[in-house]
Amino acid sequence: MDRKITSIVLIACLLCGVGVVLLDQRWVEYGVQSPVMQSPVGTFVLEAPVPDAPQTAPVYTVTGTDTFFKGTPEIMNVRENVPSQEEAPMLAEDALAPYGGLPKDAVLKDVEVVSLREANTTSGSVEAVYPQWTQVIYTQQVDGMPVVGPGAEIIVSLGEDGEVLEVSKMWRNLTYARDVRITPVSEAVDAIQAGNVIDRPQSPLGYTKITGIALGYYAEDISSPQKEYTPVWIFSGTEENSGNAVHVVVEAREHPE
Amino acid sequence: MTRIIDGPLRHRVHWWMILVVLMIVSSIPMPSLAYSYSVTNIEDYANSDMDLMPGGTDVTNVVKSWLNNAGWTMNFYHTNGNVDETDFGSQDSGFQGLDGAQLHYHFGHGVNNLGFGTVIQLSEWQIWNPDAVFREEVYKKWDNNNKWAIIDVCHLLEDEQWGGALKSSHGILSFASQEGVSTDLPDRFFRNVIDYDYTMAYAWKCATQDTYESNCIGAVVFDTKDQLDYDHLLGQGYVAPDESPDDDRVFVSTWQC
Repeated sequence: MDRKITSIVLIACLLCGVGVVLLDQRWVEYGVQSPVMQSPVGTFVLEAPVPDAPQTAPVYTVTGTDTFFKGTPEIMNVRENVPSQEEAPMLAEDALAPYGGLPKDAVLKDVEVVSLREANTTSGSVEAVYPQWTQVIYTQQVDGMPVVGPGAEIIVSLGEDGEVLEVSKMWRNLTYARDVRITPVSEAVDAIQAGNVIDRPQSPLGYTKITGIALGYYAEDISSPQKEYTPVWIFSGTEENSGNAVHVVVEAREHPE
Repeated sequence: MTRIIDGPLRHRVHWWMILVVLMIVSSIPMPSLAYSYSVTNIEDYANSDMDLMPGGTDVTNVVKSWLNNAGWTMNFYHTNGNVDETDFGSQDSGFQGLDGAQLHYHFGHGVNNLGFGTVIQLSEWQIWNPDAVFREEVYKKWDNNNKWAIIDVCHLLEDEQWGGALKSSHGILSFASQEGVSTDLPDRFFRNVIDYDYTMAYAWKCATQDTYESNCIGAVVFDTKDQLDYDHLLGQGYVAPDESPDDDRVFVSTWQC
C-alpha cells in the first residue's frame, strides 16, 4: 500500500516537473527566462500559452458614454426565490430592454447568486445562507477583443421571481481611429516584472497563476475623460490564496504617446 | 386693543420666547454634532515596493473633507510607523484606538496568509517580520464608542472571522479581494451616506461597484442583520441598536463590484 502511494506521488511529481520544463522552454523561446515572476505587483506563474502577437492593432476613439444607474437599498434584503444562474441571463436581457437593450458589443461575463451568510465567530462555521439577489454581469468586447476595467460593465441584479432590483451601465461608444504597432508579449512580461502595470492593485497579489493572455483594451472609471481605447496586454489568472480572478494589464503600444 | 406689557411680565414673556426658540432649535436634527472619527493611514512601508504614497494622504483628505463638512470631529489621525495594534482597539483599558470614535477609516495593505487568516499589514511588515494586526488581537474588543470601521485594504474580509471584533460595534466595510488605490471610493461612499442618506452597507456596495471592475469583491460584516439593513451614518438617519446581549453571530455579504 505504501509503495502504491509512493508511486502515485512520484508520478505526480514527474508529471508536474515535465509540465514546468515544457512551459519553461516555450517561454524561453520568447525571451522569458522563467515562468515564475517575482514582481512588485505580485508573484506570478505563467501557465498560459504564449499568444500570437499581431504587428498592429486598432485604436478606438470614444464617441460618447452611456451610463446610468437605477437601484434600491432594498437590494440588501434576503429573499427566498431569486433566479437561478441558468434563468438569470434571459431575465437580465429583458430588464435591459427599456434602456436600449443589451449592446451588440456586450458579452456575458458572470452570473452569481449573492447571499448573506450568518457566520459563527467562535466556531468559524457558516450557520446559514440567505440569497439576496442574482447578479448578471456583462463586459464589452470590441471586434472580438476583450475590454477590462471599471468603465465597461453592465450589471443587472434580480430579486424575488426575477424582479429587477438594480441596473447599472458603464459603457463607452467607440469608433475605429487608426492602427498602432504592438510590442511582443515578452516585453509585457518584463513590464510586469518591473511593476509597470495599468491600474496597479493596492497590495501585491499573492501567488497567481496566469492562465490566459490576450490583446484587448482597458476602460478607465467612467468618470475619467478617457478619449481613446488603446491596445493593452491582459494577463488573466487566479490568485491562489483567495481563488479570486485577477487581471494584470500592461501597455501594448510600441511607442505610447 | 392695545396690549401693554411692562415690568416683570415683559421679562417673563421674553424668557418664555427664548425657551420656545431653544426647544425648537433642540428638536431640529443637528447632523453629527457630537460625532467623532479617527483615521489611520499607512502609505510608507519598510519594504519600499509596498509604498502607497501619496495615495493614503489623498484618500485621507477626502475622508476628512466629507466628515469635517458634516460636522464630525477628528479623534486622532495616525500615520505610517505611528500606527500600531492599539489604534485598532486591541487594549482593554487606556487608549481605545478606533473604539474611541464612532467611525474609523484605515488605509493601507492587507494580505491573506493562507491558513492563518487575513491581516492588516503595519509599516514594518516584511516576509520575515509579520508586523501586522491579527484578528485575534481585537476579538470582542470593539465595545466602546465605535459603530463602524472602514478598512480600505485588500483581502481583509476573505476571512469572515474579523467579525469577531464586533462586540457592541456594528460593522466592518472592506474587501474580500484585491482592490486599487482610489479617492473616488471614499468620495462616492460619503456622498452616498451624507447626500443621499443611503444605509452604510448599501452605500459601500454602490461605491465599490462604481469604482472597481467586477473582479474586485466588496464586502461588509455586521453584528446584526438589522444593522446591515438599516444602519445610516449617525446624523443621517436611523441607526439600529447595539447587539445585546452579544452573541457569536455576524452577517456577511460580499458582491462582485
